[in-house]
Amino acid sequence: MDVLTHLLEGFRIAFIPANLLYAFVGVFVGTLIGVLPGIGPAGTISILIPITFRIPPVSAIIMLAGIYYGAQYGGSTTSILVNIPGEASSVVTCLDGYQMARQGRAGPALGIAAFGSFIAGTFSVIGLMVLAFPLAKVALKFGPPEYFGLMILGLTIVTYLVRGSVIRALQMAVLGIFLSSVGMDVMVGTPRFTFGMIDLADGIGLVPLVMGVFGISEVLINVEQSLSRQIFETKIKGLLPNLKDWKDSKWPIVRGSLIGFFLGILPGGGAIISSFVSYAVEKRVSRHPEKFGKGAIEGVAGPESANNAAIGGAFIPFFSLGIPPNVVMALLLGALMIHGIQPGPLILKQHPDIFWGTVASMYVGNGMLLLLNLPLIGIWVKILKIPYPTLFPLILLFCLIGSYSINFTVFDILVMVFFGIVGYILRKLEYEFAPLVLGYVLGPLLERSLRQSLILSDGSFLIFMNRTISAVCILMSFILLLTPLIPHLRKRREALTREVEE
Amino acid sequence: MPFGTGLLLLFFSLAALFREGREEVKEEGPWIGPYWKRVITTIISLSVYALILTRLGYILATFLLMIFLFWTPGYKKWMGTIIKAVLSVGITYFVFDKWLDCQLPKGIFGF
Repeated sequence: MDVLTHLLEGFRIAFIPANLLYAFVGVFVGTLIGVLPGIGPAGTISILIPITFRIPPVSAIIMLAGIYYGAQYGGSTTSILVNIPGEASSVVTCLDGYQMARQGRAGPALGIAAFGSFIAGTFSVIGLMVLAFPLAKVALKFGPPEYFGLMILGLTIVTYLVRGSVIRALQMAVLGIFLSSVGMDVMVGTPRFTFGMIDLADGIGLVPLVMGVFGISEVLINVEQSLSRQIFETKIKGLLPNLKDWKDSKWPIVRGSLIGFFLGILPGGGAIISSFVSYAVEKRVSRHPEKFGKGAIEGVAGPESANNAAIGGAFIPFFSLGIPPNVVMALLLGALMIHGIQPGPLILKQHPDIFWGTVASMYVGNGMLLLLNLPLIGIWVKILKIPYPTLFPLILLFCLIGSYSINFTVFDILVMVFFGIVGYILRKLEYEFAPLVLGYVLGPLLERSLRQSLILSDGSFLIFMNRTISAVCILMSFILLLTPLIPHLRKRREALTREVEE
Repeated sequence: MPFGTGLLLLFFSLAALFREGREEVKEEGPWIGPYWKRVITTIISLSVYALILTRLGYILATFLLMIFLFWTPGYKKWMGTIIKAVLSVGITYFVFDKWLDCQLPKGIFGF
């Protein structure tokens, strides 16, 4: 009953015309950048954060969340039509979606992707509603040692799930924590690593850092290659999947929703991993695995549902623990903190409007996306035809404006360009940036909880072992980190990541 | 804390060095793409932009940058380049400066 009144209140907030408009702008921009390769939700959200300073926090998060789930819809379009994943989370959609398009079945592929996303998105929002409160109640009893343990576990899981070398991921995570320590000391306020520069006193900005490593470096990688690309010309007709398509996709959508939702809750899981896992699962349970890669609709329905469901899941640790499980959520955390709101167990009590408004807007937004994507698909395809030589200066321009208008200093532009170069080189060396940004965002929280715990225990590290929850988390982290050293288990992890790549 | 993270970074880097030193170097494609000069010109143009932005003001500095960026990929059509540059500067100026009230730098010429 209580839930129902809250939900109604949430819908009241979501249906305020201004908020409807923000939700629409969010999903529209999300679909747009989802369609455009080379700019992802992380980059876009960092560009738009300065704009949200001027609007109420609920509207801000409604819009930013809209970008996040809108991008998942848009990403599938490019994967299916041109075999270029608009987003990392729709890489696997290319495998079967593009094959379906070549067989003249682009319509059903796009249709099932949109419907699957809608169903999974709705499911995960319901899951979010049900799970966030019990978790927040538990979280209220957490002290600094528990938070420390949880964050260590989160960072470990991220590095474990990243494709490629675990050691490289660990390097990135630690580098991220290190970068976060630039600026004022979180406890006593002494400046660190500022080298006497006033601009560094507030630390390295999250937005310039993220836009550098995700936006600028991506552009640099792209301009290095030949800029022409081929668009597969296809007539899209009959967007509605037929009865057989539905029968084939029914269970993949259900499984994809569950996989996405639960992997989304895990730190570092998120949309990318869950789409890969869903594809691997579908291939394994299928009675005709040989059809995968040749246009099996299950290979589109499962992953596309999973990447949308992951988003609702990702909001759970965000709202109930205040821990962002991935880069995009980290940016949302930053946006809310600028408004003076600290996500965490107390947000549900102190700002119920934010939680319920966001939840309700996600229902509304998912509906808008269905309307936006199915009848208007032709427009998105046209946008795909914008040539990259025209597109990349615009991406750079938006990054410049975004990094400048956070603090109105040119210094942030230079920081962004610097991290763009760093990111460009690290991309060449096959490093992943998710652990870096997560380490950067969790760094101050991690440091504060560590030092508070040590104050509680008079400097004894045993406090992390005496508290059950933190002890379990830290032990699990150790086990995860040690498994790659055991040859048998290492092979299994490698097999897991390789299987989905193939 | 920074000391600890520094230590960890050192440890993981050494571990990476050891592990990868043992692996054979795989033959891969060329490390640098065919148009690597564009990477350098792009980086330089962005840095120069940061330096001239507050002096020339948003409109002028961005116009110059956009002309340069639209032109580098080898497009010889000057009219198209100029139109695109004017449009991108004009639209972003109105959206960010006028509509969203994000004050973009004015520069010495006062616009």
